[in-house]
Amino acid sequence: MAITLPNESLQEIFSYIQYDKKALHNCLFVNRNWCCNIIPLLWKQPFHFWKDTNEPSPKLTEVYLNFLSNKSRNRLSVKPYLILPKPTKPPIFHYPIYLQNLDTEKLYLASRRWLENIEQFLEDLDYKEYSRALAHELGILFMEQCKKIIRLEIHHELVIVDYDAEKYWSEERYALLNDNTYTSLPLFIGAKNCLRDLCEFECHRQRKAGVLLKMAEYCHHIEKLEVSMYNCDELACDVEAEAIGLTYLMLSQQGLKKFVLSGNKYEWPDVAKSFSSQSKTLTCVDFCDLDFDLICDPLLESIALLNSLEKLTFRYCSPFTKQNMTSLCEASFPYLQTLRFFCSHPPLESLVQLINNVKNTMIYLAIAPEISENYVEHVNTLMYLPLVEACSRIKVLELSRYFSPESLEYFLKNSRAPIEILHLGRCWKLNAVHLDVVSEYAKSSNLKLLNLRFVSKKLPQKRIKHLQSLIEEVKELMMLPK
Amino acid sequence: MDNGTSNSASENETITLKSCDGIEFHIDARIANRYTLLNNWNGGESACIPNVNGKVLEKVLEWCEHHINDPQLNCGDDDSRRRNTIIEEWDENFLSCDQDMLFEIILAANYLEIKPLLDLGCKTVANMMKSKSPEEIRSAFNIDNDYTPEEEEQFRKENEWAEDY
Repeated sequence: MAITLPNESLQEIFSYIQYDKKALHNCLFVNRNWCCNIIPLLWKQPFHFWKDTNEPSPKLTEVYLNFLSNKSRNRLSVKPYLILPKPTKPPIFHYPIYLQNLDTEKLYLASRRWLENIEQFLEDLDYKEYSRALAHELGILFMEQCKKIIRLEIHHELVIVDYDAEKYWSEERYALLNDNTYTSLPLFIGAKNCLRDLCEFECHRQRKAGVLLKMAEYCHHIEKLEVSMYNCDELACDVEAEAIGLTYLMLSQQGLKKFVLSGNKYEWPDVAKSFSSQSKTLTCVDFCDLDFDLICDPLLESIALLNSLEKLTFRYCSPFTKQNMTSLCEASFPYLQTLRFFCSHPPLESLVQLINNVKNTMIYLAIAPEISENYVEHVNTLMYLPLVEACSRIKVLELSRYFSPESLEYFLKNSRAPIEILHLGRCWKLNAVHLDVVSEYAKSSNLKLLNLRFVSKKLPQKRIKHLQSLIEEVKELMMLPK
Repeated sequence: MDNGTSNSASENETITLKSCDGIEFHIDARIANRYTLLNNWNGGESACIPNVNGKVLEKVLEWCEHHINDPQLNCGDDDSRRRNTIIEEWDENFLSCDQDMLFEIILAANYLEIKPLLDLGCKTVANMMKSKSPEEIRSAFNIDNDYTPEEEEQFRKENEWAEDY
């Protein structure tokens, strides 16, 4: 290299291969200088180079085991048959300090695969127990030694790859769920330092009150927060304590941008109030599986205060009534671009009112037209027309669940919206007639992308090919058998 | 809506930049308005841009001129930008120069804080590394291997996991 690039430029170049494990690996061996620049990238999220179908290599776990403290080794050696390797030489780099992206499920799998790979015979139950123990010690290692975790996902401990429903729900399994496991990472020593710059946090484990309260104490810069709050009596969840934990976590943030909340029936008044503390920065809210109060729901009312919202999503939420939608329909969302009611069914009148309020900015709309009785009677009637008219500026239309070819035709024929993208994925009863309707629409419109993912395999290929000749891109991967 | 391309300078307005080897360039003032550092050197006679010679500055300005109407980069989408390694045809042809020039453009773009050009240069070099073995990369960029065999062996073992699957 006649001209030598400084490390600053090299790092910039390497950042473009940071998700390409093979390229990173090859660059490691070019020379020492390149290696020093690549190591932080390669070890930043080593558990995440594997997609869902593959799992972390046991060799990765093996390297991390070199860094376990004597205390951890002693605790693990109490387990019969478990012999940890001893490093012959100290590793060249102190790899754990580079970790920035941690996911407890992947941590468990990495531990499990390492155990399965060593030549020791273990009963199936032992594998699970030892995997948890190993993941626990690795969790302690990461909390003590990582410089800064940017992204943390804590999953329900019992979600494991080879899960057996019968055992999963058996009482002996619940007994294994205690508060000092690898899913309790924020409670470990060192968590305060390594989690203080956390930007993204997902928490799906049961009995999470303690974890959420600790996170509220340590982390104040979370930008994306995703929490599942499913009330499960069998796991002795303390619903009130969890809601308090979430409330504190919300209140302690300095600039939350995205919030995803899933859960069944809860009393949310405090959580709802805490939303307003993030009203200046919160641009994306996504609710899933929530049950609302019929008359007046604090969560729906709290959304009305979020004037910076750009994306608002409801998935599988119910019930929506004229009463509980009132505050939402009267709210001002000057920046709202995406409004999604995925498998969620607000009353038509409320939906139209809401869309009319945001129609100048909204470009993405998702509705589930006919599954609800709210809509089914109105198709092809004047009452359906206001919805079509309200959607005059949308560029992306997403339809979910079931709707008839007639209603699709009605919408597309009467709409003046410049629709460029049409999502029909996961529409269970999509048939050839629906595709004919889309073909007709494609001939006279600006439709550029049609999403047919997760629809029936039985859709006629001839019609799909015809659509492909009319539309720039037709996504039809991963179709499900009928 | 403001797409970030609005400039206070008009189309006919020009400014003068001088490279470190004294070559003068008269450019559309809107280019300098987009990239603040260029504007700082609008001095004609006395001011010149240190560290960037005429040959390189000519290339940099050619790129700036071609992309004058591009929307400004959104700083928030850094990650998705890095995942996208596709390069447009014009840019690909533009950077089909010798390696020294490519590196000089990267250094100049960095120095002049022309972020999109810096990204483009880095992406080009990154693409050159892909699918190459360490030996091929060394040969392509004329780099010496300074590992000892023992060191390389241990290092290979510690990072073997990245070869899997």
